[in-house]
Amino acid sequence: MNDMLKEFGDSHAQMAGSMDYQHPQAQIILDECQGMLGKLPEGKRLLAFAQENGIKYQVITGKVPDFHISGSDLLVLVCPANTKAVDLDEMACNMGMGIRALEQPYIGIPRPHPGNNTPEGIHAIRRHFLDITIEMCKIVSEIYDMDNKSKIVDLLDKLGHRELYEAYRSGKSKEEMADIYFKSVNAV
Amino acid sequence: MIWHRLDREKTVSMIARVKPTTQSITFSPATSEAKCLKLPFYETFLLYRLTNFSSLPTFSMDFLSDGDTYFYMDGSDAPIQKINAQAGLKISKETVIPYLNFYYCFVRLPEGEIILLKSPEEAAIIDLYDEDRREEFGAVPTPIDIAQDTQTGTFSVTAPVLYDGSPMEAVITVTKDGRVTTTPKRMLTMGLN
Repeated sequence: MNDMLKEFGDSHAQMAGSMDYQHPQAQIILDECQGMLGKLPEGKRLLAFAQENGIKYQVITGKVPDFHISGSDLLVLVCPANTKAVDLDEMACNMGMGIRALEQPYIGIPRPHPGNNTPEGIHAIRRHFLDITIEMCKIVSEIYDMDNKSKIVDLLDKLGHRELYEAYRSGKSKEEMADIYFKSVNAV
Repeated sequence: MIWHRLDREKTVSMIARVKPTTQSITFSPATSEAKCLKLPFYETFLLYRLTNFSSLPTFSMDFLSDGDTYFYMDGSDAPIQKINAQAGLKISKETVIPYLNFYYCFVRLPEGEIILLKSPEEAAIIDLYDEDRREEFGAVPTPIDIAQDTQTGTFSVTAPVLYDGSPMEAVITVTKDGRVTTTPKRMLTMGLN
């Protein structure tokens, strides 16, 4: 990442029991991710949604870049302690996906409840993941259009979503993308 | 290597020890699972994983622990070096590969993702996000050469690796105290080496 490299000293082993797992560079990470999203049309929209709805952020350390939502208004970003090892595009994409997950109830996609194995519950989980994955394709596509860097596209490929991404890029309908997505996840 | 699920009492105890001081990340014994894995290169420390199944995506936190003190795996090698210094590392020809598989699985390096490949051909099919594959700590690369410097005890391993997305032959050194250095030597052409 960029400024995240600044002021980064040796990391120290964190002993659990009296800690909050906060990333020592939390504010820099947030600033850089928001800066990156702010350059993208979809990113700007997501940041505006987050601001209007009082979304709060927290950044914790962890093995790999990831996100986690807590309650209805908290996005927890997970970032490895050594930020030199982290790609800003990937981290910003996680922030965008996390905001989208918090936005879902506002646009008619109910929050899924793991363990609810009713047909409605399973449908909610499938809908949640489909929407988040299409959102990832949208953000990755805009990052690619901005700088022509293929690293983030390669990452999406490694996640097994190349076909869905190509479908998004070629303007396929949501129904067609849903077919592609569910075929790919069912094949795993 | 087999994960062992902790019983409810031990799960409750672990949650009490590792729970964050903030309320943003919560683990309930009813919706969480705790498990542990014996690692061949540590005598007293095990790998522990606590997973919250009530969130989507599910959320896991990993620790190295002797059952009393828990060190959080934060993506750096700091917890590993701490345990190596505090509890000792059993590094030998038998344990150096499991140690490297473990190290690359838990440490996010500036040069990108590194995985020891079972063979150069595996580069074409490996899934970086397949946790089961990443956690095959016993997986042995082919071809492989393991040599030890009798003076320093440092191991030198030559093996195929996936190095930031590319199949490479790399020379990896592992010092007696567990410090790892990875040097890519040449690009591998799958099936032609």
